Amino acid sequence: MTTLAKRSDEGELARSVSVSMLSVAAAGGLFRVFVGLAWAGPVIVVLAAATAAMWLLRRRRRSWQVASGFLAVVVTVIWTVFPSSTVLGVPRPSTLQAVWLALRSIGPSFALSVPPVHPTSGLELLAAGGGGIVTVTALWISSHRSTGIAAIFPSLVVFIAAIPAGRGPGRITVVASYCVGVCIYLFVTSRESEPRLWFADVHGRRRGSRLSSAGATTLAAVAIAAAVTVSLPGVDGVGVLGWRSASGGAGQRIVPNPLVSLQTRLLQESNTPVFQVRSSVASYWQLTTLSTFDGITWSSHGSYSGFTSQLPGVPKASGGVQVDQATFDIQNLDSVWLPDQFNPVSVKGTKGVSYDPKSDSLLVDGSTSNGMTYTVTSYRYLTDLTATDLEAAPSLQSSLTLSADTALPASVPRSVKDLADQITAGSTSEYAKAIAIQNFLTGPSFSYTLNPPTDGSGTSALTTFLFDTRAGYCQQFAAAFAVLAREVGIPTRLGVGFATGNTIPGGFQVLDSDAHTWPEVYFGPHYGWVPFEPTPGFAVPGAGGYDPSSLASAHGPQQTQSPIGPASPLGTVPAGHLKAGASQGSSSNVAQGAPVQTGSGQSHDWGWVVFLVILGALASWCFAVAASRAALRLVRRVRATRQGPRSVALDAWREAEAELVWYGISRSSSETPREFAHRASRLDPLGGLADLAVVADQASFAPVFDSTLARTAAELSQRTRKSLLGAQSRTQRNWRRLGVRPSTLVAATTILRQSRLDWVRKARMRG
Amino acid sequence: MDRQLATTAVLDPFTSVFDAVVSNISTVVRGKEGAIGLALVCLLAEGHLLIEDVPGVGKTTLAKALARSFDLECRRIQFTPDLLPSDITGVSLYNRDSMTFTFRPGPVFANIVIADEINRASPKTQSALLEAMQERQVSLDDVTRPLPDPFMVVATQNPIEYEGTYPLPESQIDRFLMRLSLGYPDKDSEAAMLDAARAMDPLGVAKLAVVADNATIQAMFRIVKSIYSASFVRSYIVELAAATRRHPAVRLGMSPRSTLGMQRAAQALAASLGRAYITPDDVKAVLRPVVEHRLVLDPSLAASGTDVREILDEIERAVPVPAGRDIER
Repeated sequence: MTTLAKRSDEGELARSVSVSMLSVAAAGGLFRVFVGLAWAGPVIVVLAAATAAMWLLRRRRRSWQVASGFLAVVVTVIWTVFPSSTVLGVPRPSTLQAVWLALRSIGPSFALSVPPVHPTSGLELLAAGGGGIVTVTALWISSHRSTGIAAIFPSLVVFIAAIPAGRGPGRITVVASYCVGVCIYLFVTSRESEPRLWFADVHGRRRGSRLSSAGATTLAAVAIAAAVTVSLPGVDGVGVLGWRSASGGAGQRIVPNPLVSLQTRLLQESNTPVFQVRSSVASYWQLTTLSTFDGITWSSHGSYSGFTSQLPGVPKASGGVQVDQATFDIQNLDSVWLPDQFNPVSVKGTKGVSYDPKSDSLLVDGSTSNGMTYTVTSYRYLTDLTATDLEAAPSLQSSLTLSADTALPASVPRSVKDLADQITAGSTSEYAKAIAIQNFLTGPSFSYTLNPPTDGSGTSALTTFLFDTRAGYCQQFAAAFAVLAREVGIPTRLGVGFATGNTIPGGFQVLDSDAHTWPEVYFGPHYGWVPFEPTPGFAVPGAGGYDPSSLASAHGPQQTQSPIGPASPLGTVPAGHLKAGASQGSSSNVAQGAPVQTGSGQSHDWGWVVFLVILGALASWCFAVAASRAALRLVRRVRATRQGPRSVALDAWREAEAELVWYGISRSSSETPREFAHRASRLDPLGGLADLAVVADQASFAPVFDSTLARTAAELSQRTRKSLLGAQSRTQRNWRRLGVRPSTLVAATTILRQSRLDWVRKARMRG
Repeated sequence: MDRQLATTAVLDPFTSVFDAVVSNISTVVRGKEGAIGLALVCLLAEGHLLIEDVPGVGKTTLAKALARSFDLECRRIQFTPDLLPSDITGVSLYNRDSMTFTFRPGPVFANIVIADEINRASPKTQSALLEAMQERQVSLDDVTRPLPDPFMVVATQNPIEYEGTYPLPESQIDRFLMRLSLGYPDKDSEAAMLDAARAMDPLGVAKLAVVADNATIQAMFRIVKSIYSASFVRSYIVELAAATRRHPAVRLGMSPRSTLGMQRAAQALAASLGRAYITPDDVKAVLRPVVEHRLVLDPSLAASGTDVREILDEIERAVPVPAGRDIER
């Protein structure tokens, strides 16, 4: 009855659907990796298409099925991820190019992204294509009648690998939905007889071999997933930078790459207030600067030293120099850096802060600076700088000490150098060259967008930005400026921090979405590092003396911070990061503020959650098993009085029969109970099953049925179960006791169906 | 356990007689309890038996021992090409003294008639016997004479030698309820047989104990007819018959007569096991002896080596047995 001698079409369909549902559930892990749901469409379409393709060819050879599945994956990935590159769905050469570009962007995405990330075409390609491949593989494995259970393997690998990549809430939901998917799949395939198992003897006949097989399969999946996770480009520390804290004295300090956190802040377009500045003078609020470019990302290597109030390595303000004071009230800045103005001299009101003169950055000793208040005094000399001053600054090209600030990795192609030379042709001074590069980048051929076709600031992203797409946000513009300037020998670094923010009485309110990055050029010890602004729509406050774009800019930085709706006359101008946020609408993550956590804190948190989830699942499972058994006993008693002894005896037989399915033996439809009992006698040394078959026969075919036999049948069923269980080892026995028996399910469905039949009969009698 | 759980006390005498007869016969036909039991089932189902086997495996001994156990009259007819119908049915002879014709009954007027090598006689003679088998009477010279009750024909055939034989037509072979083949005894049985034969006549049927009498058999017939057959089992039999009829390799499937016979045989078997009702197991147990000789295969497929047994295996696997769920509805 429960056995399918051959897989029916319905069984086949149920299997296919449950496998693809399992893949969807595994892909659910990506909810915590991506911002928004734009990625889900392609993934679901690709999975559905792969399943449908393999289902349509179910009567053909397996190789055909797999080929059609992969073809469906490729076609639907192109249709869903790169629709614009095709003509009515037919790929063109440009499609290939787009796919190639997307593929190349995957590595840097991993290295530079901190989840949740915006789905770029590369990541979408990876998610949809990978999901499709996993589904096809799982369907292929499950189509082997004998290896059904192993079909969980591919999705399990993906799921486990996706767990550490994700971030934010919804862990339990994701894990639970995957577990539900597994349960559905197991339920669908449990109706098959004698599946062959992985890591077990050939037919899974050895007792308990299913359990050990499941364990070994899971272990292998975990191992592979761990290997996959470790080999991801972003995991080996490229996405974060190592750091030895000189003031702390001991230990390695892991701090997030500021560029990565910048990206997160920008792309989330969060309106979370970060800090307030009490100051009369607008400025960019600098967190740190980055001077090393390794072809993938920008980073800094500094040795920090403690200080009392006067910053080390900075001369005291003398009488003739104008100084500004700004007081910072940190609200929500989960970063190790403290914001300050340009050219700080001294800091007051802080404890546990160190300073790196090389990168001009203040570093908190703890992991967060929330709630701190401090005052930074700085030279106000940016406003006094003029183009003439900088024009006259001595060339520093020969300076050996600055070689680190002009160094470029070998991966930067020659074409960039050619472009830099071409841009700066005719310019003699360092300043003129810098202005030329800035003008090139702010020129009409470049446009501002928060969703650039290629994300990141690595070499490949850079060349794509410069020569192909010419669209990006501050990170691309600043990095491009720095690389171009370094190509012509100008010492350049990246400043990372926040734009001025909204004007409030007495100062400025800075939001998460004000995060910004800009290049700084070195003009010798006298002038120091001077910020430039190649990002369209931005201007360094107070830089009008040397920066023509600052003067040309119709709007000040304060203006850019007000949310600009689509109806605004400035709507077409990329006037700040908020623009994209206003037109796109905010994602659900905005309200979370997505605090950037340090690595160690996250893993601790994660382990605790996993423990709780496992504990909760175990407890609820035990409860469910116990409750279902108790309910079943009750219902069975009721049924015995209502249905009569024959039904009770037949139920007992059916339960014993279902129990044996668990042990790999199921009755075929042409087999009589006695024949089945004979075949199963190997597993049932006490012979209860043979007796039960006799009673079942009597219940089925005898003209009269002795009602005392109903109880006998129930006892025999119990005895059979015990006899089957008794042949197992202690561990296996306990595991089996923990599970819901298939016979329980059979009894439950029988009872349900019977009660429905009763109802129908009564309704007929009434009607 | 079977007996404990499923038997009824009413059937105790039946089963004890049955078992006694089987063990009685197996003292002369050793190691063939299964075939003996089926032969007895055939007798109790009031059917005729066709034994197809090579010479010297105990066909005749089995028939004689069966008769002897119930103290029945047993006659043997050796079928030859020149055998006439009257050699079987008997003739009316003119009695000079009384100036009347008196009937001299032939060998068919016995409880158990052994028709040895039935396929060696001419069709005319065969048909004389076969009519008697179905009608259980002999009509001669406008007088109908009933045959004794019980009446059972045990015909034998040699499956190897077909030279000069008249194979039984389908219509006639259908009248045999069962076809059995004894086969060679296993080594142990044969050795035991030799041991027993050292001093006495190995086929000493005459010395066999009488277990029951004719009245007992009549009572057993009534019991067999009272065995219950549930509608699900009846439809299972019908399904099996239909499956043989629609099987592509079969030209002639089971006849309605054979479905009737199958149920009766199953009833006899169930009674012999002490069960008052038949189950699909009983039907399966008698399926092959009852059906095998009746199926006529498609000649084109028969040439390809398809065996009747394979076809029956296939049919048995294809027809689902009635199980609890159907029964509850």
